[in-house]
Amino acid sequence: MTMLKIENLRIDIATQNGTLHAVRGVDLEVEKGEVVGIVGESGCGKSLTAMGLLGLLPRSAQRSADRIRFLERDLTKASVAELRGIRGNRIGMIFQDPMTALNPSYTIGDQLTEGYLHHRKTARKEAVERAIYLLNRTGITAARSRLSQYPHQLSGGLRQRIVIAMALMCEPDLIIADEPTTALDVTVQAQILRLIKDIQAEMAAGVIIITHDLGVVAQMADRVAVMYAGEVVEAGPTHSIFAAPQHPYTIGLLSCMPDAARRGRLGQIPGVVPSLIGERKGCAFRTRCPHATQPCRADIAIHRRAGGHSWRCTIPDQTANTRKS
Amino acid sequence: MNATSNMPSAPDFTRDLEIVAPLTPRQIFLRRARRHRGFLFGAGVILVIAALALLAPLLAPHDPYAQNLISRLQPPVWMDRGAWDHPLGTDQLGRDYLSRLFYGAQFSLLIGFTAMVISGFIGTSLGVVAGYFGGRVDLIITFLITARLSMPIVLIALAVAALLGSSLTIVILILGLLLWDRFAVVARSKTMQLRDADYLMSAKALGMPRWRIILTEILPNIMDAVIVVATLEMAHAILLEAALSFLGLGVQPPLPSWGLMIAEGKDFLLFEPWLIMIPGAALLLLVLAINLLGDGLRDISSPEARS
Amino acid sequence: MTVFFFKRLGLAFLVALFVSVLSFFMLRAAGDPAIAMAGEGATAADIEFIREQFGFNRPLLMQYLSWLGNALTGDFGESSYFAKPVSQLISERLPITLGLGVSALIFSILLAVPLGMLAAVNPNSLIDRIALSVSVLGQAMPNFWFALMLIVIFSVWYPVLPASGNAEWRHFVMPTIVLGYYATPAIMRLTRSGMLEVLNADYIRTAHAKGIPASRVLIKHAMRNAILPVVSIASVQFGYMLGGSIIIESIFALHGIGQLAWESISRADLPTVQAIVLILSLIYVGLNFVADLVNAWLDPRIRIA
Repeated sequence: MTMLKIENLRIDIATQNGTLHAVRGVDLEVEKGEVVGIVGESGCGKSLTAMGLLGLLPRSAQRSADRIRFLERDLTKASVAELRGIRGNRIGMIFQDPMTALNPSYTIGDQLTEGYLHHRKTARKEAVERAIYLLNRTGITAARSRLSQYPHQLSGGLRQRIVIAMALMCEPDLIIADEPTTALDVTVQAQILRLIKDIQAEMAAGVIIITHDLGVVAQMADRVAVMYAGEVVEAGPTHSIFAAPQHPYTIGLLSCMPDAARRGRLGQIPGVVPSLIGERKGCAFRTRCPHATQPCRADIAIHRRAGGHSWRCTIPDQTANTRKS
Repeated sequence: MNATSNMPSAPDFTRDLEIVAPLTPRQIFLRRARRHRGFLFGAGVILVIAALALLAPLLAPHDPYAQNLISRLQPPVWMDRGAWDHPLGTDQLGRDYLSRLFYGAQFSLLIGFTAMVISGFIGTSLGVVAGYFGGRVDLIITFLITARLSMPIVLIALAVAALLGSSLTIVILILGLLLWDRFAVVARSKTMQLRDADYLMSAKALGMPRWRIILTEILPNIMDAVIVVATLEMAHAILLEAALSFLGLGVQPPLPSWGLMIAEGKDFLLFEPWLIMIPGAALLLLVLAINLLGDGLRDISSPEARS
Repeated sequence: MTVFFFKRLGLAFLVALFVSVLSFFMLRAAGDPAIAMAGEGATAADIEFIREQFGFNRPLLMQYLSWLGNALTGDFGESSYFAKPVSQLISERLPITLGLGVSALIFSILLAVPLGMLAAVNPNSLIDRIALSVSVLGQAMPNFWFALMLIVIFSVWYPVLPASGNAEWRHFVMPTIVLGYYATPAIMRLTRSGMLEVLNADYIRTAHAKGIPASRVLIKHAMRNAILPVVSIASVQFGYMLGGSIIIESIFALHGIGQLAWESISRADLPTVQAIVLILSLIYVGLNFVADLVNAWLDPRIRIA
């Protein structure tokens, strides 16, 4: 069952030098119980896509979409109150930096129960019990005494577990994790990813995981969307993308990974990301693409293959080229 | 273009995706300055007032000290009984108000500027030394700043002026010696930010003497911030001078300070309120212009500071 | 917290001591107090008599120590002009100034904080522009001139408020506005910039992501953190207002400590001037100390460290 279906999402940001089209017509689907990874370099619009979905955008940003269907509702037509009823309730957010995502002035307990109390209108005691259960579930010891502590008294790893517990308070149908491990130590990263994966399986929730780390994607995601300069350039099942990438950008990303473990951060593809200001025609990647030709300046067709693998390129099948590097 | 130069097959198709060429800092400054209304207004008004002050001997219609008891308290030209002979009227001794206003601008600007230079020198030196050397030196200078902030400056300025006997030099010295705190605070924090910068490290590694590092590496880099403080402190000094003169402990009669003009006009507040309105409005305009210039400079040199 | 408390207390004490030394020697260095006190036309014998009587002929350090020792017991000597103990003069006058300062601070906070918050929540809106104008004008307005203009408008043109005296609350309306407006720009700017900074913080986004109402996010999550720096600036401004009251009180003829300062300065009444300088500094240092404590108490990062 398709739980979330985004069609033609666009996000424009007004700047001094003109309108910045940060997200340019993104389509994305999430099935119930599925983990979808959005991967790309910083500034490609992956975080904005997720924030735009919930309407959590900076004031200067303008969102438009043909449709954002979430559980039989169209979020583009939802009122502010309806959106707030969904946020934190049906959709939980896990943020990147646990050091700044928690309010320094309130206790862990207060911040954990706040959303639950608002959405469920229950007694404080029940919310506290739920919080303790989730703290235990996320592997935090002495959960009850943590509730009266303040964020600055906890380590980064603990705080990220709390941010995760906070996202899970209302048993959301969809969890959006925006670079959930980027700010953490390597050892803690693996634990946190394991935790998200376990909880997702347990709660049968859909997950959108946003990352620039292909290793995270390989470990977590059932399906992947690769974003470049505001567009999804390739999407499909994780195994298919890793085994037979089609878009030259994806190929570049994968070839930058250390081969042995297929883990690691996005490496360097030569060249600069084009300016996002103003409209664009043709392929955005052609400034850095080793296969750029004249047709790359025109509109690009989307190729689709059985199994849901699709890509946006003038070259219909790149399989031959993957072997090259 | 250079991004793709190592890929021979690509360059022809990339031209329309180029990134805008970066502007030089100077170009950026001028471009932002031209768009900043507060800055333009402030700079314009200051230029006009400075011109009027400098050219007062040429522009003033009368001698600012020439008394004429027959035509005393003549109102400005737009009121009944006003006449073009004295466009802004005359004061209680029959002196031409417009001429006194022009000459008064000289005092405001002179006192404001020199007091700002003195306090700027003291405060910036202290701040840079504290920020650069850190440790105990910083502790002592921070303590001095705290102590200075704890003293009621208006009261001390008045008391010292009263005890020493007031004169132009003394007013300048008092203000210069009292208003250095903000310079010190800003210079200190800016220097601390710079202290560990790579280019300072390399200068140290090259064995450059400390005073040269401070003069050639630090000062130029904190100047933007210091200039902004300088404008605000000049405005502050002008206001304080006016207040001192208003209380009779600043510029002494018959010199035409704006604060003194307001004090002299105060006695006629009931029937001739324009006597205080005119110099007050001039003072407000000048201080407003300097502040707007300072705020503008801050916005222009570091737009992130205002967000 | 205990360590913090004693560190701050120690610092406050040192600053107070240093300021007392500085103000004492500064005022002494500014001129021979005996000559100033004796006034014009005094004979050498008169001056010598004053020197003897007030102890001006002793070494400065000794004078300072005995002055400080007496001051600590609340004895600031005898006013040379009012012929009364200085401590009595001050205790008579201080309540009026403190009352004026408190009402001006309240006026200023009531004007500045909501305006600064609204401006930050709606940047570049009409309210932001109004807030900016209020602040820019407040910074540029000579307060003595503002006082006179209010008198012209509300006592001369539309006589609704008395221009001088301190008999009833109506006498305090104009001084409160003038003094309060003087402190408004600093408080408002800091409120606005603090609020803007907080609104951009990640934890505000977290709060929105929980789906709680925007007003709750603003009041509970944003304001609490944005108000922290305002506590400090408000105490600093209160100190400045007490210092600035000298001008305001002399214009509105309020018999507070500011006017006392003004009278004793014009009469070269050194013991009184010195006592007032010391007391205003002490109040300022004390306020800063209290503001630090309030801040620490509001901010769990300091409270629980």
